[in-house]
Parts: sequence; C-alpha cells; structure tokens
Amino acid sequence: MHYPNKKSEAVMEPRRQIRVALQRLLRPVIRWARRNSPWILHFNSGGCNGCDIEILATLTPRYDVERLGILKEASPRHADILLCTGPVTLQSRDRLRRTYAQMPEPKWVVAVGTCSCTGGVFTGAPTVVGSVAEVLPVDMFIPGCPCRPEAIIDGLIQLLGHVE
Amino acid sequence: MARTIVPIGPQHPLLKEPIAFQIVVEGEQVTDSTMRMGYVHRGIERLCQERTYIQNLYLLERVCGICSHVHAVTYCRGVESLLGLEVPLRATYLRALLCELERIHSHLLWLGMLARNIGLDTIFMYAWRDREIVLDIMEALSGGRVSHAINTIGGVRQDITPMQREVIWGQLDKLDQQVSRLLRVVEHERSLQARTRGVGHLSLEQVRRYCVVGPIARASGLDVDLRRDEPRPPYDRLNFDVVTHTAGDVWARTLVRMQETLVSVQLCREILRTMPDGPIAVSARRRVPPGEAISRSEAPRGELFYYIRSDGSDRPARVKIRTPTLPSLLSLQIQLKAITIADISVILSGVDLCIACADR
Amino acid sequence: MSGIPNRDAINTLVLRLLSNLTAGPGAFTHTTTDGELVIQLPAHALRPAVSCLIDEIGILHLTTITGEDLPPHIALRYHFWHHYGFTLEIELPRDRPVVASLVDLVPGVALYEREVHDMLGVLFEGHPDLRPLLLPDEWQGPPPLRKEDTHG
Repeated sequence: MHYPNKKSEAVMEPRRQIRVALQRLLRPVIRWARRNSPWILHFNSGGCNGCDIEILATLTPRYDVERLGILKEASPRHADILLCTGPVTLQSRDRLRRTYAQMPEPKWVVAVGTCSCTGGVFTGAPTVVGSVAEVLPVDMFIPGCPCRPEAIIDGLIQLLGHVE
Repeated sequence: MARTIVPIGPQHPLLKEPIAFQIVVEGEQVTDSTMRMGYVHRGIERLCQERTYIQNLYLLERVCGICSHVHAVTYCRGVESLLGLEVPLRATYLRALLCELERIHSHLLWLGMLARNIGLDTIFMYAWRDREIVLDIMEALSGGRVSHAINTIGGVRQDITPMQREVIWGQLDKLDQQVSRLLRVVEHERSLQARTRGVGHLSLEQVRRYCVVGPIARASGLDVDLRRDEPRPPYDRLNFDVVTHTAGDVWARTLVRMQETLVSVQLCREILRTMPDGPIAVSARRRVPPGEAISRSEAPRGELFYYIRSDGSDRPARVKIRTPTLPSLLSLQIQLKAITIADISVILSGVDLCIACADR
Repeated sequence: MSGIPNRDAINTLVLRLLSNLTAGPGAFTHTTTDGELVIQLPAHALRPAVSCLIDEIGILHLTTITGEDLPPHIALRYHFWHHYGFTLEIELPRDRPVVASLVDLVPGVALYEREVHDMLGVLFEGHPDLRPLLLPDEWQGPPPLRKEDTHG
C-alpha cells in the first residue's frame, strides 16, 4: 500500500527544520496578536445578572474595551477568554464544561464576580455547585458584587500580561 | 416541509442569561416552541428560611442585578408590615427615588439590548452611554452602581446631602435631554419600526387571561400600574401618568417603555423637590411576631409580589417571590407561533427577560 | 381616584360571592397584616369558588400560588387581584397532595402549578404539562421545599 504522506527521513528532516525556524520567527508575532486581540466569550452559569451587565458596560463608550482589542464573540470557537459570571448551578455545570471544551487552545478562564470566585451568597444552596473553580481551571479571579467595569478591565489586562 | 428544531440557549448571543428554547421551524416559519428554565435556579426561597430577616435582605437583593433595589424594597415593606413599623416619610421618598432611577436604567438597558439584537448597534451604544448618567446618580446616592444595599428593615441607611441633591438635579436635566432624543430616534427610525411593528402581537384578552403584567400588558391596553393602583407613600402624593398603548406588538412595548422612562425622570424631579425632612429609619426588632404579609411593587418589568409568613422567630417561615418575568415567559408561548425565524430575536428581546428573576 | 372601590368594598364583594362556600365546615377567614383577605376553603371547593368569581367578576388576575409544607398538611395559597388582593387557601394531606388544576379557568396559572409541583410534589389533575420547571434534570432528592421528615 502506498502511503502518500510517508516520506523518507532525508526529505522530512529539512522540512521539520524549516517549520521549527518559522515558528521561532513568528512566535513574537503570535504573542503580539494574542495579547492585543483577545476575544471574549461571556457565559452566565447562574448569576443574578449584575456582573453580566457590568461586562456589557465595558463594551460601551465610557469604558470601551474594544480599544484594547477585546471583542465579545458569539461562538466559543472564536473566543480566547471565557468570562464566567455567577455561581455554577447543577443545570449549568455540563453546559459550562461543554462550552469550555469547544474553545480552541490556547484558552483562559476568568471568574468575574464574587459568586463566580467563591459561590458568594448562594453557597450551600442544594442546586448550586459553587465557584467556577470547581468545574474549570480558572486563570484569573476578579471579585466584586458586582464587579466594576474598571476591575474587569484591570483583571483582563493583568491576564494578558501573563499570556505567552 | 421538513421540521427542524432551532435551539436557542442556554448560551446564545441573544441571551445574556441562560434559558433554553427549542423552536420548531418548518422552512422559515416557526410553528411551535418549548422552553426549559432552571439554569439560574439557586433555591433562594429555601435559603431564606435558613437565614435571619436582615441576612435575607442581602440575599434577596441578589435575586436579580437589574432590579435589585425593588426586590429589597418589597421585602422590607413586607417585614415592616409584620413588625407593625411605620417607615418615616423621607425614607419612602429615598426608596422611591432609587426605584425610579432603577426603572430608567432598566429600560435604557433593555433598549440597548433590543437594538443590539436587531442589529442597530449604534442605538445600543447611545442608550448605554446615557445609562451611565443614571448609574452615576445611583452611585452618588448609595455607593454602588448596580447593587445598592441602601435598604434596611425600618428605612434606608443613607441620606442625601443638599450638595448631592444639586448635582443630581443637574444630571436629571441632562438625562431628560438624552432620553427625549432617544425617544425621537426610536419614533422615527424606520428600520426599528419595520422590524418591530406587528411582531409579537398580544391582544388585551390574551394579556388578561395569561395574567401578563408590566409594560407588555400596558402595551396591549391594560391600564394597570401598581404605583397608582396600590398607592403607598410617596406615590400617593405624586402626580404621574400611566403610559398605555393599544397596538400590543413589540413596537408598542418600545414606545411604552421609552415614554415610561420620561415619566420616571419627571417623577425623580418631583421626588427631589417635595422630599420632606425627617429621620431616615426606625429601629426594628429582631424577632418578628407571627403573621402573614403580602407586598407588591411595580418593578421595571411589572408586578413584583412578596408573601412573607412569620412564625415568631428571627427567621421567616416562608418567603414567596413572584417576579414579573414569569408571566412574560408564559406569553412567549403565544408569541412564538406563526412567525418567521427573523422575528425570533425581536420577540425574545421585546419581552425583556430577566431569567435570574424568573428562576430565583 | 374616583370609580375604584376601596378595600372594604372588594372584601365584602368577594365574601358575598363565596358565601355559600365559606358557610360550610373547613372554611375560615382572616386577614394579613395589611388587611388583605385570606379565605380558607376545603380543597374540593377551590374550583367552584374560582368559577363563581370568574362568572361574576370576569377574567381573574392570579398573581401566584404559594405552597408551604406544614406537616401534616401542605397549604396552597392562591393570590388573586381585583383592584385589591385577596387569597384563597386550601390544605392538602401531605402524603397525597392532589388537587384539580385551574389551567382551563385561568390559563395564567400554568407555570405556577408547575413550580409548586416541582418544589412540593403537589399533583395538579388536569394540567397538560407538569414537567420540572426549575429543578435541574439530575435532581434526585425530595422536593426542596418539603421539610425533612422528622422521626417519630
């Protein structure tokens, strides 16, 4: 059987070296693009909506995160950062996991608001799982009830500072 | 024609809160829909039974972020009724001022979301920019843009200083100008009218039979507004119009909400002008005597209902909350029929859903 | 506000319309702290009472149904509004809480009966769709608003 992609070592080694060299050359460009154009997906897993409207307020003229390159995306497949608000309820938990799984690598999770960081006032409720950290690996916690838009922007910028 | 099911939610660009709709479509025509709620159910009514009355105040403010103050006010009125407390008049004026400001911010928020879901992002940006004026005023009064914590059982916790009053008066003038401009834009914007006229029609009889409340009911001609119909201080001393319309479609709801916003701005001015001096709170006992209390308020979305039963201890035996979004969700079952797919976003935006309120 | 009756007039009207139902055993009347009327009826009298009110008043506005677990009963309070609020209360046996649905008389009751079914396990006979409203799909425990069964 003829495998069209299986070539001899003599052909593959220079191709591999070219690929590695290109990656090394483009790495600062890729890092620049990731830092300067992080697209966010917003997922409310059971919150009161206070943090959600403050996230939406960051898109509006007073706070205007678009000047930092941040756009709110509709599909998980276009997003880099998942902004989670609200405590995770039992009904939302699987949907949250599925949404996270649909996002392509590299991806980051930000827990916005006290309920998302720790469960907030709803800790102990039988239909509430708790903070987002119990379901997903969280990269940045931004507390507040609700979280002010300035705090959200500050948290996002600090997260982007750690982006490789 | 083949039947397809279009799932909307729980995570969808149209919805800022999770709720799932399964919309049955044949070609471009919607024939049926089912709804699954409960993604935001936190069991608040049960949590209330495990906490004291004052702890519940902070919990119940977080039923919803958009209408948090009116939840706290309605709860406090119920508990004050059980305690037999008479809240000082100045405190009722301060509560009403924040209620009206909340109504303005909620309606401007809604206008922005409707415009964004239709595709008119410019109106979204303008409405939310003007909404920042309201949030600034609320922050000056209470320290928080969205969550205020200004209520306590027996009154309010913070008073308004004369300097704040002057600044707020100036801001209200600016707000009046901006909201009037938005109303003129909405009235003359032909693409908005083309998308919303005739869509999501509810007749007066349907509204009454399905017990729909709020601006949706008023847009179909039902003349009910609890501020006027169940008058408590200060609304029994204030003059205001109740805005109704007869068309019953999303366009009528838009007009009702925008005109209500202007009425609320005038109410804020009248509240500031006629606010009496006096104390802002009376002290409240920790243990509440046994009894039942029912309190109702006109939240931005309609009739908010609280039933509180006390058994004599410092924890409520039962707190029942009925938020205005529940009958709106029921009305969606009528509206999501015999429309095209393009109208789905208009109808879902037109009912002003607050799922956190509905699920509790 | 001229033309709108006062609370006493509404209370009197409701009591008069339901007078033959409130005359029987198991019927009590009291008021909330604000003076709203609460009429307690036997469970089988609920549908006739609501029909009677609709015949006389017209379309009734139902605000909600409050359910409360008060062993050995489950109390259901139907909160209505006609210029002022009034409540009809029934008690159901805790081990077999079944009552006729009002959904054909008051279509607006649909979601409230579903919620009481979810939270307390009450069965509303005649309701077309008693699927869970608020509880998650994976909920296995008893209805959340039921008090835990105490021993003895």
